[in-house]
Amino acid sequence: MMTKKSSFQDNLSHFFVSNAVPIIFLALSAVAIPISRFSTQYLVQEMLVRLARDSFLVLSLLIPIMAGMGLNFGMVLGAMAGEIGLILITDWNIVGIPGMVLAMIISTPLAVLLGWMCGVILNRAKGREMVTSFILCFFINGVYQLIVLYGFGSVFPIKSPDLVLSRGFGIRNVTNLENIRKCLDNLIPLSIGGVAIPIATFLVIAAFCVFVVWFRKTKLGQDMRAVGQDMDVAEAAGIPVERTRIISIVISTVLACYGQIIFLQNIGTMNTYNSHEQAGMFAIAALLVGGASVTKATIPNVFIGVILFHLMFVVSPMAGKYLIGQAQLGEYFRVFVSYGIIAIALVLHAWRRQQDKDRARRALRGNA
Amino acid sequence: MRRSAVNVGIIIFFVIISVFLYNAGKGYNLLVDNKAITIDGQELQPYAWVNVDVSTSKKPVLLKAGGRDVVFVIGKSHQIHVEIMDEQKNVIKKIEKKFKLTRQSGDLLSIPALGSDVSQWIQKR
Repeated sequence: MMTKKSSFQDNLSHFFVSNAVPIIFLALSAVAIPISRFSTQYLVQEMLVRLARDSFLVLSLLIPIMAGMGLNFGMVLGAMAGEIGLILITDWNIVGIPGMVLAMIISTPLAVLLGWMCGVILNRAKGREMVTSFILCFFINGVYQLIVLYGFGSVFPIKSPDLVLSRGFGIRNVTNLENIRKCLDNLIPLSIGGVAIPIATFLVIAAFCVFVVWFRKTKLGQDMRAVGQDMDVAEAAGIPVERTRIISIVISTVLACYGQIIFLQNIGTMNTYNSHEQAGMFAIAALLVGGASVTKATIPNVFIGVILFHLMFVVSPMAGKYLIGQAQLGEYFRVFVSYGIIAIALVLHAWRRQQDKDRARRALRGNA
Repeated sequence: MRRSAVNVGIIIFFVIISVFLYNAGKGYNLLVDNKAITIDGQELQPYAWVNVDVSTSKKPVLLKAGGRDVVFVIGKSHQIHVEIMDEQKNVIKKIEKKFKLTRQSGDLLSIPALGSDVSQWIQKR
């Protein structure tokens, strides 16, 4: 009896520890939603829009986690490549779905190159991939700003006067993406009870989920899992570890590029120098809120995380306004929660690893 | 060898797709003109009222004599529908014509020239 009860208690505490972050967010949301006084229809609409907008970016994080590379902060490189593609199609005045697809095709080689470069550097920083990719983003951000602020309009000709700064070169701070605004979202329009559902975007996301499930079953996917579990054993088994790790980062970077394009077509405007900066942070924070860890992430983690994370974003300004009279609480949350959740997840990950080791030791010894 | 051939084939495929997407998705701002125009020494007068609808543009354009407006179209091949009207906006003539935009062609559509069946009804600005 005691053994069964302690086993149940053990399992229950393991469940709460493993899902601490989503449970905290669920509790916070349960408190904040009634205070915010938002209607159910409004919240459902907002969550559908944000699911369609952000899921692709978050899904792109799954493959590097599978390969043991941790949370890929280098996805920002893919976001930058996508933005360069968008600047070019805006200059050429290519509209609608053809414009969006052309932006994806143009930015793919750049995303592959940046992903390859990131993968090579991360291979030289085994065990420190996350912080290395985090810092690499700052460096490539500098290169991106150099190209966009000085290269475009001078070295790379830009014809559209709406894009270029008044001095004749350099792209303006805000790029209007009216030409592709909501082109994917409105491709297959559907409205149920006043709630608009972007069917086409969800179909693309569903296709990506199918791709992830299929990919895990391929040889390359299995190689990545083996590398993620133990690099030395994978090497001994004949798996080209370094090449596999590079491929995982390249795939993630290219998918992040497409995710950023899907994100920006929903928004309709692009902050040329800032849009990509928060892309990685918010995507990673959302994945962690969904219950993923540095070593394990699943597709349900993505969708649960996006919903819970963005639910807090939506309700916290109004909840803050009604509670303490300050709507800026929402903005404070935006930054605090993003960084805070990553810190909590990393700490919990280290603590859980220790707890799992202790559990395994106890299981071997028996409950003596 | 075979792998290189496949890679080159994939690249060529994407280049072709890109060219197709560029042509299919490129937007053009066309000026629709109901002003007097002289072509090859022939002076053409504007119509009292014209209603112009270019395919892929969002809504038709109504112009009085001397008027000009902009239509945004997507792609190179279009069909133009023109209703030429008198002062009381009674339709006196309807014109339908297909046209294709090229690098050499202009982006100004002269309705008086189109109504008079002049071949150079698409002018450069």
